[in-house]
Amino acid sequence: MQCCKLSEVLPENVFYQDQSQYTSSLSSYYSGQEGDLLPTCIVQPTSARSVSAAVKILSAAHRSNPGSCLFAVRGGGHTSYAGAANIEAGVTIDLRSMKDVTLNTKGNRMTTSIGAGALWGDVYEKLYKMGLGVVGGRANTVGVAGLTTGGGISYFSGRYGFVCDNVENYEVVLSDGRIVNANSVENIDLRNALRGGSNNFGIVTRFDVATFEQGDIWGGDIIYDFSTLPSQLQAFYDFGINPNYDESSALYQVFAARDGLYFILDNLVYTKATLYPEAFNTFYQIQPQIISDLKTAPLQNIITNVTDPENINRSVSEPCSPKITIKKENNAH
Amino acid sequence: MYITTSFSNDLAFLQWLLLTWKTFTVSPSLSTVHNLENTMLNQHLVPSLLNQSSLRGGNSLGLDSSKPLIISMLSLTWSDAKDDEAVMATAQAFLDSVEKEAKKRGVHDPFLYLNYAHSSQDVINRYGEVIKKRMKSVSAKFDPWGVFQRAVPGGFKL
Repeated sequence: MQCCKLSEVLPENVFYQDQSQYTSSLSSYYSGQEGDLLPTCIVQPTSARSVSAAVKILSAAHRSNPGSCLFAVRGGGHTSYAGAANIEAGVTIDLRSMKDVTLNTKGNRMTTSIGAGALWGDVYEKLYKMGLGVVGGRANTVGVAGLTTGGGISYFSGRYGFVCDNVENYEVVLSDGRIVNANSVENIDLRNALRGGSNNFGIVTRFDVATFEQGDIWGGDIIYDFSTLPSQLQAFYDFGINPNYDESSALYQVFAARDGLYFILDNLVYTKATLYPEAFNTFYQIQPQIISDLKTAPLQNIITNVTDPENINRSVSEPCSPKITIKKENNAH
Repeated sequence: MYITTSFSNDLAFLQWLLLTWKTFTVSPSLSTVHNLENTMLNQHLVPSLLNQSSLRGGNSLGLDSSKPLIISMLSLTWSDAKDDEAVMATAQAFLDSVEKEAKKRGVHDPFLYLNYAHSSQDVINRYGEVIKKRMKSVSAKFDPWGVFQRAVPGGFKL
């Protein structure tokens, strides 16, 4: 099977339905609906050059016979709806082999180059050991690519803006196969378009992101009785209008219902290792609390043990029982 | 599934929203859905975040640092595929009622955070006309054959 002639050009990187690489790629998607789609083949490039080779072929097919070789691009594979990063009877370009995380230092400026197939957990594990951090996502198992090209909210966003704003350079494969850089001096229009423009302009193969010194952070979840609703809304509203907002503080508030049971969860994170920072004073006081799990820890450990936004979005349509809990790091199934 | 909307920080609206969400959680159309988990997650895009964002050269989100907002994500999980339609329809109806009320109260914000959006949501258009036009011209320049529009059907197209 030729699969749009990709096997001829990339013989080592193209996999079909009977192969283990194909099966394991599909089973690694976050949502059942995504993993159920069956592409004709899955390409797993190991470099921007091989992404370029694949795109050239697929582009040529599109131009000579539109619709003949439709494709999808997959990074972390965490988006929940079917078709975002997979495709039935088409070609899926699976970037998971491109997940290097490399620190670059130029004088006293630091950036981290992240392969488009990396997960945030890969990034944090490496950088934490060096006492460094980046404006990154809030779930270890979410991919860098999708989150960043969709904007991206980080615990550091109050201080530094969106995740995408802190990408200094995007390495991109364009539809003609050219590999270009998009940054403040080259292709700035492309750079800005990629900041929120998702997969509309090319395949990003590498993100070079601003990097800073960063140690442990503090925080986690408090789960409250639903009767606390009035104080919760007041506290949430106050947090938003506070003219003296503390840029190290990050908050989100979750309302949950299951089997007639309701509760409220507040995720409180302070991006410095400060115990019980004043920024959250009201939240510590709201009672009754069912569980309180606040601690000083590396960012990647705080997000493993909290119900993070990206893990709440588990869209499963299979006969197993989703649990409502303080969510552990989600395992794709 | 998840689906998203945004609105400005308004306590009265938040109170209305939670009352309405509670009613939504016990919608008759959801009463037979097995293992249904219904969550709503709210977070602020505070002025500090939006200011810092605008200092970093520009993006395509179309946000205005003078207009802080709340991003709300409604997330539902359930176990049986046969309930997909009912859940989706009920959630959509709830979301529509939220946006309608927000508009009525002058707190609606068109911004949809892409990473929380349902595939049916009009993310790119809701970044705003200026942004969309700019994105289309970037697409015409870097992808003149429209490969990433028509050969890559997944995601939110321009």
